[in-house]
Amino acid sequence: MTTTILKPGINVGLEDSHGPGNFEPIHNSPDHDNVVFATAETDYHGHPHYGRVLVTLLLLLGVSLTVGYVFSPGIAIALIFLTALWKVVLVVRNFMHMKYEPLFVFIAVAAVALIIYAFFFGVYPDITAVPRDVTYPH
Amino acid sequence: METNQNHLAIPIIKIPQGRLGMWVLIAGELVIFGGLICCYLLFRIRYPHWGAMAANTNTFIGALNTVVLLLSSYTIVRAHGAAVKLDIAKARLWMMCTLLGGVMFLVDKSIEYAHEISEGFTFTSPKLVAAGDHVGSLFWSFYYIMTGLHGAHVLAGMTAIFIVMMQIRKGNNMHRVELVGMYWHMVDLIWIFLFPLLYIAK
Repeated sequence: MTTTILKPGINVGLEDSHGPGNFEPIHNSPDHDNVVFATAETDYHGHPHYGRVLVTLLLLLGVSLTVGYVFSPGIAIALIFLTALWKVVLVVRNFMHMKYEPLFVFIAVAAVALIIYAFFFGVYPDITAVPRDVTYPH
Repeated sequence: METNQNHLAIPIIKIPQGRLGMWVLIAGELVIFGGLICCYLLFRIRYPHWGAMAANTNTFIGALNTVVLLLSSYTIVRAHGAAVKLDIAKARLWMMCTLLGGVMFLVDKSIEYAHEISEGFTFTSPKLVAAGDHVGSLFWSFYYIMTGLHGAHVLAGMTAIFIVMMQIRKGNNMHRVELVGMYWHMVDLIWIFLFPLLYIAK
């Protein structure tokens, strides 16, 4: 199987385009079998209602700005970070179209979260074990 | 040509290489910012005094910049939607709006930096150090590294968007609209974390 240019004027290969109106396949090598290009007919993924996502994001921003005035600092900070996490999930799933990606992409990105999680607890003693006063060496 | 049509007839289950490459890049970037944010959090836990330092950041400008980045994320997905429909003019218009958002973000950030520097809060904050507040000075070092690195990514994203905007004039490389969009969303994601850390949690 090979990839091809699907529409006149839309030259979407891995390499630089050969100019508009080119109907010839860019790659014929089997090495490029896993290349899939999106056009209107063969869109790689769906499109959620972006306007609705944006409104939700702005509402969550409003929530994170107001909770500090309503709740005690501890609860407010917890809520602020919960809304931040919710916003991140909305952006990644809808704007970055993660929900249409194969599972291995999700796993690759989730692995980053795990690495950061391990880093946090790995570094924790180094920072908490130092003396409380920070001074420059003389 | 027939082979290609057959290829299109089967369900697309593989990921385009451009998108895969972008995900790898994004994962790498997240490790960089994730490490920085972790260190910030640990120091913040260790030195609650940082809360008082965070009170000196401008929440209004921070919130305004969040709105700007969220709106620009919306405009870049609209550009991608237009690119898929082969509507070059609309795609370029939405990309222009995204660039405008990026410019606005950087202008806001410059105003904020100017104010903070005039107050004596710099990368090393000599005023705080002279007063014996080394911990407070450390907060501003983190602040400038994190926001400065993020600002550099905003600039890089704007440059990439501008280049792709020029490339698609004649309908070439339309798929790149989505790829630069993914990078732009990553910039937005990082700010979503930086904003509560540096501006709201006081």
